[in-house]
Formats: sequence, structure tokens, C-alpha cells
Amino acid sequence: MKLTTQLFILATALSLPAISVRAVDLLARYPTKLVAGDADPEHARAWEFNPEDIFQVSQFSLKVGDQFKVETSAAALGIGHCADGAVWAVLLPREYGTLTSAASGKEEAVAHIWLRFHPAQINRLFAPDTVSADDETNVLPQIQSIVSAKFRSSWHAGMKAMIPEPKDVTVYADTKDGSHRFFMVDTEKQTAEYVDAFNQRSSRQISPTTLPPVVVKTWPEAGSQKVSPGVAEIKVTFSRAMRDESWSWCTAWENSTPESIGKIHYEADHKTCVMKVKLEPGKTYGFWLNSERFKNFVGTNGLPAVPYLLAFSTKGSSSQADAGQLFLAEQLKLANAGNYWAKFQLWQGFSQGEVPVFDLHGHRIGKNEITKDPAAADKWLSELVKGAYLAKFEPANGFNPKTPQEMFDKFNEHGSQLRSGQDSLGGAGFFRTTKQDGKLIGSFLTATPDEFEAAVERNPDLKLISIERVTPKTFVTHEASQQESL
Amino acid sequence: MKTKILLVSLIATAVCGLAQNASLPDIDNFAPVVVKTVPEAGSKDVSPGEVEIRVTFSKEMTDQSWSWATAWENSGPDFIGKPHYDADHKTCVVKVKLEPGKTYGWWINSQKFHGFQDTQHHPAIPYLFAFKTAEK
Repeated sequence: MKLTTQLFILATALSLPAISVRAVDLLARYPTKLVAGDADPEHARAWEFNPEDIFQVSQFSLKVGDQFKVETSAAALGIGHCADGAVWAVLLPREYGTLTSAASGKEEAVAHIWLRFHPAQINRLFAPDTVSADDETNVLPQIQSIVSAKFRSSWHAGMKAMIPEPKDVTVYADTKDGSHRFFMVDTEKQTAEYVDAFNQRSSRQISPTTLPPVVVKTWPEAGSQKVSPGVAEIKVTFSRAMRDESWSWCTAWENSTPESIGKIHYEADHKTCVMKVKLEPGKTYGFWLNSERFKNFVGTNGLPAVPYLLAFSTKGSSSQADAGQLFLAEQLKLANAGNYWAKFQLWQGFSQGEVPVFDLHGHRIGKNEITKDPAAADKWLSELVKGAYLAKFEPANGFNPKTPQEMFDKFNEHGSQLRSGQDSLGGAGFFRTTKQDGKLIGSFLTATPDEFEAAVERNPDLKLISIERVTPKTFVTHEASQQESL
Repeated sequence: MKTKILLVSLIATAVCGLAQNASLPDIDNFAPVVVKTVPEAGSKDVSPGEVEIRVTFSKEMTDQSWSWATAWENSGPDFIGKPHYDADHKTCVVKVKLEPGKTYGWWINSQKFHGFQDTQHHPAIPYLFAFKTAEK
């Protein structure tokens, strides 16, 4: 155990100063009570990996004795986790990482790194001050593909994870020139045993079989407008064979799905999932096939399908009242009860001639047209500016944000609890940035100007420029301004 | 990530709870989705060489606007010429040069890039379009 500590102290000593905007404690994110390994296949754990399990690391370094060292500067980090904590990690360096080992006797450029470890070791591998949240998930399929190719290389029972001893770490790095470098690291003995057999395998690069499934065909086709009502079979075909008895036909908005009759099943090709339904005339139906929360359409490679929105409408007269008018009526009721966001919807709706449609997760998925009404729009605009202030602030003391996100994160540091309210403007809403003389200027609308001023004064990296009452003109200008991106 | 979601959702989350019950969607106003690709996503034996890639959406799209986003390092082949839409305004076409025995992939729109938009400027739902070419 002493040697384990020495190893990680050494690894930490190699670290460069962290530059993360907001440190992430991965052990707190993926807590564990496990203190020993568990290699019993019967106990192997099911794990999951989602977009929120992707982070950024400013650097990573693992050194064992004088013979083995793998390290990278900034990289994307994916974490697979089970109920007992983190079980695997994938590192995708922005530039190539480096590997020095007995395998080649020279330094090799590394394209990505696969790691298996005991859940309690996660913070020793990835110190919190080197880890920050990620704001994009485009690397998700690449990480999934690496997992698909590497997971069965060690500590596994099928696609379930066994738990190594705390001293054991598996390092599996693919080099720039296509070599597969697999090492069994013992942090107590400070050894890194190279297993050449993995490099003899045929190359397991990214291929359609290691990528997440996608929908390639549906019936009815998404967007169809004249589907015959009555009993019908909805069919969804994926790009690869799928796991049977597992699906997520998700509601896209309230009552968006037809009545299901009979049992959902896959056709003999194992790619086409069929749901028998009863379709009513003049109705619009919609499903999310997988969604952010539900991912049970899973390929036989263990990867969930990329979410797909299947919506269509049937022939015949609609029994639905005009959707836009229904929306307005509901917002009017809420606005008259004082709801700020309903007033905002009414102003936007009457001034732009359209109202939004949201799915159940709050994502805007469409809009409905309504009649423009400038007088009504002005009335609701005058309500929106009552008691509202426009607060502007700028970076100070060397803080030099490159993106609106950095500015926003900084505003939330130093104890600022200001947020928009559930049904009121609250302490800080409508965040915007503009660029002036190469510098980002941040601004919020606030209903609590004194608290806002105090929050900025507490923040040494920000300086207040002004807080002024909002007029209808400044509200419109502020609301319409785009996030500046440097 | 949570911060970004908060940022984007400051308004949307506040109103979505209000909106769900009352606003019923019109199919014309939905975000477009990919309904067909050539080659089909997941294909493993696409002929290498100069090939026309076709992506068909569920709606008419805005011309001269697209996001063929790289799905992993060097995932996209070289374009030969510029993408364009067919006369149906739904099918985006681009000619590419494919090497043998290679897996190619794009995100057709992504979380970050939303260039594929319908004529009402609804961005298309992101789609992972990947395929492999045959060996020589």
C-alpha cells in the first residue's frame, strides 16, 4: 500500500498546474464502498455511460518505475460507472499523448487510452484539480466505439465489469501508428507487464460494428402527413442487429403516442422493431426512439441507439382545437396570475406570430403559428420591464474569458446564488455577452439589483459596469442579442 | 455540462412545464430528421473511389447551409466540390473520394453545429452517419 501511495505521489508530482475552470471530484461523483477487488464472474457489475459522464482533463500521467510512463496533456475523459463506482475510463487526447515502455523501447504517440481500475482509485488517476465538466458530447460515439473494442480485454464477464484489486490497473493504449499496447500494471510491485498478444490481433479500429446503432428507416416515414388511420404497424429499422426485448418508445409530448395493441417485437432480421397501434384520424403522433433519459434500444454490441424523433400525422379531420390558441389561453391564465415567463411567451408570441412546442424534456421541437398582435405584444412588454434592471459587468484582474460559458461560470463562483425564478425574473436571467474592444462584456436582467451588485463586488474577477432600469427598447435589444463567441 | 444546460434552459425550462399541456404540435413545424442516406448508415461494403453521398431529410431544407461534422479524428473523406441540394430541396448531395477498407462517419448536425436547417430554420435532429468501404 505504501508503494501504491508512492506511485501516485510520483504521478501527481509530474502534473502541471491545473487550469480547470471548475474542479470535478470524480470519487464524489462516483462514490464507492468497495475496498477490495471482486473477480467472481457471478458478481460482475452492469455499468452505464452517458453524455454527462464525459469530462475534460488538463493533463494525465501514470508512471511506474523507470520503464513505463503514459501521459497526455488536455484530453476528453469518459467514465463508465456501476452502482459501486467508476469501473473504466477512456482518455481521448486533443493532441497525441505519449507512451514510454519496454514494448517498443522508444516514445510512441498515443491516440487514445483505455483504463480499468478499482473504483476507489479514480481520484488518484484523475486528481480533482485536473478534471472539469465538458460542454460537448460529440466524442460520445468515439468513446463508445473504443469501449466496444476494449471492454472484453480484461476484468470482464461478457459486457459486465469485474472489480480489480486496488493495486491493479489495466492500461491499453492505441498508438498513432496502429499498435495496440496492453499493460497489466501492479502499483504495489511497480511493474507494468506488457502483453504482446493484443498487438498481434487484427486491427480493431472504429467500424460500423463498434459504433452506436442509428435508425435507417421507419414506417411511416418521419414527417409523413397523410397516414391512413386505423390499425397499423409502426416499424423502425436500425443499422445493425439489436438486443431483443429491449426498447424505449418514448412519448415526445403529452399524449403523443397512439394506443398500442399487441406485443412489441423484432422481426427475424433482429434490426426492425414493430409496434402494432390504433391510429385516429386527423392526429399528429410522435415518439422519441431512445431519448436523453431512456436508452433501451440497444445494439447487440451493447451500445444504445442514437435518439431519433419519429413524428407523423394521419388523414382526416382533426378533433384538436387550434394548438396555438390553446397555448395562448394557458399562458394568459398564468400571466394574469403574475407568472413572468408566461408574460414573456405572450410578448414573444404576439410580436413574432408563433409559439413554441416543447417535448417532455423541455426541448423546443417545433412551433405553432398564431396571429400577430402588436398592441398585445406592447402590453406584455410593458409588464416585462416593470421592476427589471439591466446589469453589465466585465472581466477584471487578468481574468480573460474566451467564451460566454467561461464568463457564466465565473459569475457563479464566489457564492453567487442568483438565478432566474421559477415564475419570476429572479436575481439573474437572460444572460448575454457582447464583445467590445476584444473583451467579453456580460449582462443579465435582474429584479434584485442590490443583490446583483453585491454578488459582483464579491467576485474579484469581475467588475460591475452599470445597473440601469430596463426600458421596452433596451429589453428588446438585450433579448435579441446573440451570445458572442470569440 | 449542467451549467450549460442551465444556461440554455433558463427560459425554456421555466415555460416547458406550462407549455406541455396546452400546445399540440403541427407536423409542419417539427424539427427535420434524416429519413434516408446513401450509402445506408452501417453499410460495410461501400465501393471505394469517387462516390456521391446523399442525405435525405423529412422536410425541405435551407440551401447553402449544412454541418457535416467530423465524428472522430479524420472521420470524413475529402469532398470533391461543394455540397448541394437536389431539386426536391430535401436531399443534400456531396461527391467524395473514398479509400478502400476505411470507416467514415459524420454527425449530420451535432450538439454544437446546427447548419442543417429546414426552411423555417429548425435545426435537424443530430444523426450519426457512418459506413465502411470494401477492401480493394
